[in-house]
Amino acid sequence: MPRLLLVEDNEMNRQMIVGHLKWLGYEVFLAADGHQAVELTEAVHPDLILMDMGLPLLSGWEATAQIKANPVLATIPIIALTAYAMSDDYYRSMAVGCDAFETKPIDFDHLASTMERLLAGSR
Amino acid sequence: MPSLVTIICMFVLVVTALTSTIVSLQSWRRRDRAWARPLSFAGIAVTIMAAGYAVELANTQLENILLAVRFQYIGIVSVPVFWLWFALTYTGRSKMVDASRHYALLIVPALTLILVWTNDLHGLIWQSTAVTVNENGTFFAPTYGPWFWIHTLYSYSLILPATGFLMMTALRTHRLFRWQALMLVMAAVAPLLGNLLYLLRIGPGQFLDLLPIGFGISVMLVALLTMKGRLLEVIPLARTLTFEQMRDGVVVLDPERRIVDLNITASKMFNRAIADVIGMPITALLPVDTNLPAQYLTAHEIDDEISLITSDGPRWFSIQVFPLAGWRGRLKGWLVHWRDITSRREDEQLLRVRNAELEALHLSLQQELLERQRTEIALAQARDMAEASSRTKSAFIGNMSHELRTPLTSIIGYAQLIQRQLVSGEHDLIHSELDIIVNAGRHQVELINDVLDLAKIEAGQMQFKYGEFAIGLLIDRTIQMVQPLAQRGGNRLVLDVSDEVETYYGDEQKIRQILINLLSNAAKFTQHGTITLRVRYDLSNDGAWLEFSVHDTGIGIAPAFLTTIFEEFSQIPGSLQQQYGGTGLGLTICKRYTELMKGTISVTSEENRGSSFYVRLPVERDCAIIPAPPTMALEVSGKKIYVVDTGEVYASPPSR
Repeated sequence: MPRLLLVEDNEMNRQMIVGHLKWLGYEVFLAADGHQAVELTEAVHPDLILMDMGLPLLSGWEATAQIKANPVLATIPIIALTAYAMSDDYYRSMAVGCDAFETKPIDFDHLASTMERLLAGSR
Repeated sequence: MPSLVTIICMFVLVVTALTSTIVSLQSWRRRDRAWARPLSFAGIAVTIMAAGYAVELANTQLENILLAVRFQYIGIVSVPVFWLWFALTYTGRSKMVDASRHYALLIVPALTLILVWTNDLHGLIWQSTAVTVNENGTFFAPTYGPWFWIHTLYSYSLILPATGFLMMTALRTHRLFRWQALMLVMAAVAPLLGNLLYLLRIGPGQFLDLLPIGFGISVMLVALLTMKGRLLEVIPLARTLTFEQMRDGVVVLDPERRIVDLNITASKMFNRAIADVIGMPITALLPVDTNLPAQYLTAHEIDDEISLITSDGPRWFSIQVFPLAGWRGRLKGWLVHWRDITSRREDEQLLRVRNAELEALHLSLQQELLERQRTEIALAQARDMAEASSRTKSAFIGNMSHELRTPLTSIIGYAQLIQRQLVSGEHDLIHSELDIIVNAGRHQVELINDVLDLAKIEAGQMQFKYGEFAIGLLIDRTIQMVQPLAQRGGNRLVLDVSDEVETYYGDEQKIRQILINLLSNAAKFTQHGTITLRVRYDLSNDGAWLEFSVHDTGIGIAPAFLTTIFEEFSQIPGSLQQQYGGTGLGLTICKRYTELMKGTISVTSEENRGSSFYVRLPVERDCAIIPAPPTMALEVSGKKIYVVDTGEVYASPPSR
């Protein structure tokens, strides 16, 4: 069972997304801010990260950059999962090292296929 | 036995002879001066004359007397020639007679001398020679022959002009040198006077020829003048040439400030004859209404520039007054010198005006520069504020997007989560009701996207990312997005991409957004029809264009809506919106994007037959139209067509 790290600060949405991911058959770790995201990534070394961008303490962009800067963790695919959905936000996310960009509200079918694709690629 | 008078005469003659010898020698030493050589010769002539005369007086024998007289004549005949020669050179007239002519003047004297020595043969000089004896002694008393008078006439014809020239020079000599002038006059007239006395038998002339003594006096005086009073040696010439002809005004004043001399310029300026003002106080020269400051008339020394009222109006003068020191430092008077410097002052004034103008110009330029700098600063501030405002606006739009999307994420996400949790086959009503929530939520998202895009365009914050991209890739991605929608309505999607079209330099994402919008619209309003995306070059008169066109066979657009179709919330009447969805902002955004990329968008439509949308984007000629092997299209009968439908592939656009 692939292990995912979901980084999401909004409690309500976190629960909702976890529900979907579990239903899709993933093991999910949770982080509520950027620092937790980096720490958990180092600790559990997930197969894939779903990263919100507008996070407290350490933003998703910064957290992504830190993870991607670590050679041990750099191969972990990161999907930006954000309500910052303007075109500039896409470029910004890709620039810090995200492997894919999914907007909120979430198209779970699309997200599922993206995850499958990335997991297949990293395996 | 000679008388006392005769002895005195002899003494004087001996002294004259000696003095003349000295003068001659002195002059010879200074023979580098033009006048020194004739003076030296004249000195010798006078010496011979005087010495011979002294010998004559000392003798009582006719034979001896005659010999002395004949000896004397060497001097007598030559002295007028040398005297004239001297006078000419001394008064600056040397050019009147050149050196060779000076010697030519000696022809007559030489002839006379020959006749004197040969008188016994012809008696042309003396018809008879005798001596008279009286109480004063023995004197030569001849009867003169005709040539004697010719000789005398010739001598006078030389002596008279010489005297005249010297007199003129003496009279014109600077008044400061009165003594020298007097000496010169005496020198000039002395020989004449002596000879006249003799010829008219007056005083000592009754029995003595005073010519040698006269010349002796002349030579002595001239020697004194030239050796002691050095000024005279230059003044005759210098005064004439410079003082009189100079354009500066010069007035010489004596210690009592009376006018001693003035030049022609000065006399002309005051319009007074030189002779009229000599000896008058300086004030007599000045006009009654002169504005010359009073201190000018009393100052010891002045060096100044001043504007004076003259008959020609106000003029500028440079005036110098300086004291003249005479012999042994005694004040001899003042020299007043002035020069009209009006034109120089005018030039200076002009220069000053020009300078002032330049300075003013410089100042105004500086002010302008300052103003411009201020304006620039103000503009920069305004720009900064506008930019800040734009940034704020942009950030606001970004945050707005985020804030609007976050609750929608929950709404849609939970609705879908509930759907997942519903056991399939049961709760179908709930499932379909949840679908309504999801669809409404998605529509809301589209609306938010479009509204915010438009807001961004209006704020001037929409950024375009230009780059060269493959048209094939663009088409690929576009089709991916619209294929499901097209298929949902049972439509065929036909691609007609010209072979020529390979790459384009532009914002691929924006173009994709436009194409997705147009194709989505086509799919929405077409059921079981054909949707065609055509890409080709349009090389028309107005430039090179890449033309994307989307054609459908759908319901078409009523003519009434065609004109306003690109306006916000314009093209969909209420009922249609519910039926077909859409935000009413898609075409507006397409139009804005196209225009921002310097392109055009247009539409043609026929109700119930279909619509065509044309998007034309400008092409830089040199980077376009490069035929290259197709990378994405299926090769079917040599034509690049591929049709996305239900798995069918058409070799050409399917006919309707």
